[in-house]
Amino acid sequence: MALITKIWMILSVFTLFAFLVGWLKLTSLTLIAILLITTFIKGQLVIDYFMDLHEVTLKYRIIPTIWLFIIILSIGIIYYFPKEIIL
Amino acid sequence: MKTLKQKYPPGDFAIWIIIYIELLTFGIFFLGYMFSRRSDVELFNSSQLLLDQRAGFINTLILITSSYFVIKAVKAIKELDIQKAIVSAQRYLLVAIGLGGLFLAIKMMEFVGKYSEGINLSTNTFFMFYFLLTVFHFMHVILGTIILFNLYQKTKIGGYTKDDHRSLQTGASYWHMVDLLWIVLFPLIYIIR
Repeated sequence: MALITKIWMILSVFTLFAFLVGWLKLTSLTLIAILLITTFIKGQLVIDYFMDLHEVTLKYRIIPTIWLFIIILSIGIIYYFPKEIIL
Repeated sequence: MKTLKQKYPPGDFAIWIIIYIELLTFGIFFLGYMFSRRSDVELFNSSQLLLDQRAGFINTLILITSSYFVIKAVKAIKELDIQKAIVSAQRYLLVAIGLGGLFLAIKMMEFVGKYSEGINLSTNTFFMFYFLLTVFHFMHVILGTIILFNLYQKTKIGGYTKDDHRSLQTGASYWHMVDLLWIVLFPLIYIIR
């Protein structure tokens, strides 16, 4: 099986996982953490293998990766920490 | 064996400037959504229940699959013999365009559904973000589908070869960005509560 087909299957499985978390209202803190991690992995797979940046020098490849990391991390921090702790 | 890294990303460099700016813009909206949500978690959670998660899920699968066919088209042009490459890439791009159209149709049904329920931008903060983000993304999907159609037309007349397929990669990169944005948008708006 071609690598991009495997990537597509991983993306689909993670999407199904995300849907089930929402559909079954499984909103535990652990599951949301897993959901965020799988979202990061999905995004990184798209960046590396669909956008084809895995064959490009680090300085261009790293920009969308940093963007994704900051966004997912910020979502996690804002989700987990109450209003009183952070601005 | 260690492969030599390419100096620049695939396609025209200008598209990457656009992609980085788009990511930054959407990123600000994503964080704005999360900060607003924290101010009124109950409102956001109750409003989110009015969304159709199945539509969001199906649309995510559609965009991922569409991106998959676009990369298959690029690989066909890069790796196959010219005649076979044209036939395969054409077919893959046509599927990708069809999936783009399907995404738009499902999203449009969602929008119409919400408006018929009396829900719009001014209903509350959650729906303001919902419409801003999804309509903004929707417009990107429209543009992306038009770009894919142009790539398809050029592929059909044999406009791409193994050595010259830069504009194909440019259009493909834009489409993958649209996919990447939705990959973050889907759990953020539809799932996390």
